[in-house]
Amino acid sequence: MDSDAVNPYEVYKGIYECELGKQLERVFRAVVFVLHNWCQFGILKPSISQRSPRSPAYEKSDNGCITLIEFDKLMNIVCRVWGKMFSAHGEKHLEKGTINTLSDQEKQRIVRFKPPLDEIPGRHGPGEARKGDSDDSPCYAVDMLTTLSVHEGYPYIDIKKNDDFRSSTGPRRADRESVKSLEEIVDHKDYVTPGIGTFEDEVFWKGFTTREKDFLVELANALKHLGPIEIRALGTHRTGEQTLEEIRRELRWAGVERDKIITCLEDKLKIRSEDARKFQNFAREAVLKADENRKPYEEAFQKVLDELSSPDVKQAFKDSQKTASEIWEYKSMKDLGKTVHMLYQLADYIWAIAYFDEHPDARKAQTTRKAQEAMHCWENGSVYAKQLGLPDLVDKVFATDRDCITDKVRERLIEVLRACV
Amino acid sequence: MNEAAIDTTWLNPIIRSRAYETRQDRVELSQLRRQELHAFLSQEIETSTPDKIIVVERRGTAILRALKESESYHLDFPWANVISSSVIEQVPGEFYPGMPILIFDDMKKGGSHIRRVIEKLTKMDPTKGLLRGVRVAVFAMHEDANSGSEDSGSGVAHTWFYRGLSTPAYRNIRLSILSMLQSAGSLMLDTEHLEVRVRLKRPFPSFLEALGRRADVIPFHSLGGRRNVAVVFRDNDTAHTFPDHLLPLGAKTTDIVKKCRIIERGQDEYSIIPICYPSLPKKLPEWPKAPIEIFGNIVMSSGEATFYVTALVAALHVLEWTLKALYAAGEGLVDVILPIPEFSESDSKACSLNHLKVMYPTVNLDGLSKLVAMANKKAQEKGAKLRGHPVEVSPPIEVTSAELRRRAWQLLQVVRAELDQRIAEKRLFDAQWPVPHPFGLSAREIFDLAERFGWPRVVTSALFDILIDDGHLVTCVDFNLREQCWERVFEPDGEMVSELVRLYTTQRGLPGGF
Repeated sequence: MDSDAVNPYEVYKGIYECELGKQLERVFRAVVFVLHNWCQFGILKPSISQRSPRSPAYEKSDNGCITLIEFDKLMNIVCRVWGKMFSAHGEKHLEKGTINTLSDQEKQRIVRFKPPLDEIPGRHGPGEARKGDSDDSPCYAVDMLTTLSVHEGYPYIDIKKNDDFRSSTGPRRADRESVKSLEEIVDHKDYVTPGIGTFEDEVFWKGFTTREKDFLVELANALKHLGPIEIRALGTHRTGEQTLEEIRRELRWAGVERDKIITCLEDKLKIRSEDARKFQNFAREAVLKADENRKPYEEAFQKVLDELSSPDVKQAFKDSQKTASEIWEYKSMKDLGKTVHMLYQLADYIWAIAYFDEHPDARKAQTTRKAQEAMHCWENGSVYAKQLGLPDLVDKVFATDRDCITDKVRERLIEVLRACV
Repeated sequence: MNEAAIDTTWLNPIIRSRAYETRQDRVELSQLRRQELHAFLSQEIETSTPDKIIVVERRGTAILRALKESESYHLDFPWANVISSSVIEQVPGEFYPGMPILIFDDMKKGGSHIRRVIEKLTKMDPTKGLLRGVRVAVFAMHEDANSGSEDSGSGVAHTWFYRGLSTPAYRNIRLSILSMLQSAGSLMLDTEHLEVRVRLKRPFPSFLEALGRRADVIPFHSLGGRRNVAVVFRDNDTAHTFPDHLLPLGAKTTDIVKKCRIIERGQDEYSIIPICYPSLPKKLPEWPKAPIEIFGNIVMSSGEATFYVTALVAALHVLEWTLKALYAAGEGLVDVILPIPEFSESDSKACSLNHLKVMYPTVNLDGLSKLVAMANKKAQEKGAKLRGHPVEVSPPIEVTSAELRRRAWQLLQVVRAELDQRIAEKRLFDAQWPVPHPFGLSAREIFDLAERFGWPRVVTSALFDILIDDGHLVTCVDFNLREQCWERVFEPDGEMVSELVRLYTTQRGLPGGF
């Protein structure tokens, strides 16, 4: 971070002027503190061969960095535990209206507020956000932090492009003149590092009570042991019901793409590979949420519990996150898990067809990386497709005299797709 | 009033904020508001001498009813000339004689309600001839509200009693109007419902016990201090089903609202208000035995009109079930007072069906009164036969008022959060996606949310009543595209309530389990 960086405590004056703004600013600072601890621990970690049992089970990103998606999930975990700490150690004062009558000493012993953010579904899973007034769209906290960093010159976080990380001459700084939108500048796979340079007590913890600081330090110490995949799993999932809803949401979105594919098939047009790719991505996300996230979640959950020593922080953590078995053995989760696995195989199959339809040469020899990926997807999906009465050989999908999908396969694909989501 | 007592925006908990400092404060404010509303509307009627008043649902209608039933501030305007904003387009153009028409709403901030009324009138008469005789009367206008000329470019100017109100002042007036309605026993819903009165001849607990025959019962108090009872009929009870031929083909009668509200009206006198909303399967479902002789041709004029008429027909059965339970308990329990077919509206104490003209402008009240009398007769006969037969009686569920209000607020929080999630999800793929109106949850969806709290269905049903009476939740009819059916939906009442709920949730989080 630049030595002449702006005072982090006076950023974003518009929000700072009200109580809610102060709270939001403190949450940003706290999350960056947790990120700082995580990054420091990553940099100091021994090499893989020397890793101690307490080191992350999953490889960290390059140089101990974390991507924007993972940072978003880290924020979810911090805000959830913070919310529960507030419920246990502050809410009663708010309820009774006695918070302003407490002495300074008494105030130091409580958590005075819940992060003024709500967990709202986003493209990459749930994320902390400020709900808009009336029916406006929500503003995601990660976007606020990115905007502050990229556009406003208040770098709580630094964002580094994922593809040029090693050759980067430094983090991108505020570009006030830029007219580019946030999405054009920042990708969710870009890396995030703390933008605040000092974490010294007096300066950094200004405005926090002792209780708030203590629990955040303890939480940061626990979370630093998690790998990115564990953070992502822990931040994505919370309860069985919420996970079910997340999976259903992915299926709804997959359904939208599915409908586009069906329309193409009905109109005897080529399946657009971008539609097939989106269909595949949503199916993939559904598989992750319904099944594959369970193991990293389980490990992350246990690690955090092992590392937390304070009983009330431990309790707040347990209150904010259900155990893996409570989540993945909830109601119809197992059945849904089977369904989404089948959907994913079908989505792989469809994407491979779309690719081979656009690139007929790749059906015989896969010389490019993408062609190899298409063949891999084909192999993954064709076994299940065969059970559905679809061809398991690429050549049988396409008519030999015309360069398009045969009418029989087209009709069967429409039937299968209609029944799949 | 103490300002802090109703400042619900920040530290002061919203749940408790609705209780005024003292009972006297509440009574005085209610009286004052009633007086002001009476003065305002009387003057508007005198000045514009309207042929019709279009009341903006729901509070506009409820206010008019409270004033018409008031002895000290009685408003003399016949129900037959009042029409609800919900059904404007259901009646033929000739129903509106041309001019003058008074549109009445109690409050205006964003102005979407009045805008929709004006749009409907413009749609009915694109030459805007109808609008020439229209006058808009809004009791209280927020400082952000325009004075009318900008609405749909219609140039319909507004009159007002209060204007330029800051948000706290606006909120205070809204609260005091709600308090006035509650103390008057006027419900937000009651213009579209049948009402039959009963006079108790035995103590209230015996009445409750009788109502619990094959139904779940929960007593509670409204903020106005009146006794309320929610009587909820179970889906799986064979004694409470609808004859197949009675409703439109494919009407769904499970997982819907199927209940009776009982409200204290006076000393030992209670209103019985049956409520039932079967969902209808198509835009315009087939109805072989549509009650055209009672409701006129509007029955089949639109899916929405059919929905409302179906609801009233189904409610007659719910009324019969409720009265049957009372008759089964013995002759000496209640005196049933049926609505008078034709009565003078100057007699504010009388019970009639005249108010139904607001929601059902073409209804034949004589015919409907006969149907009510028939339901009562059937109930009497069936009830007499049941006397002495052992039956499982559900004891009334006891939940304190404070607990019910806490739960009602939690339910409102999760309803708002669920709707917000749906908005966020839509906007992820289409940032400009406009939130449609109405945009609410069906009864089934809300019951599903409440189930996660582990609350019995009858308790959730009472929570609906509390939220509606408190002006926190409004009801609408919507066509569910996914299920392809007309159904009742519920949404937080306007942007002010939504903003408060969101703020509260942001400060406190969602209740446990969510």
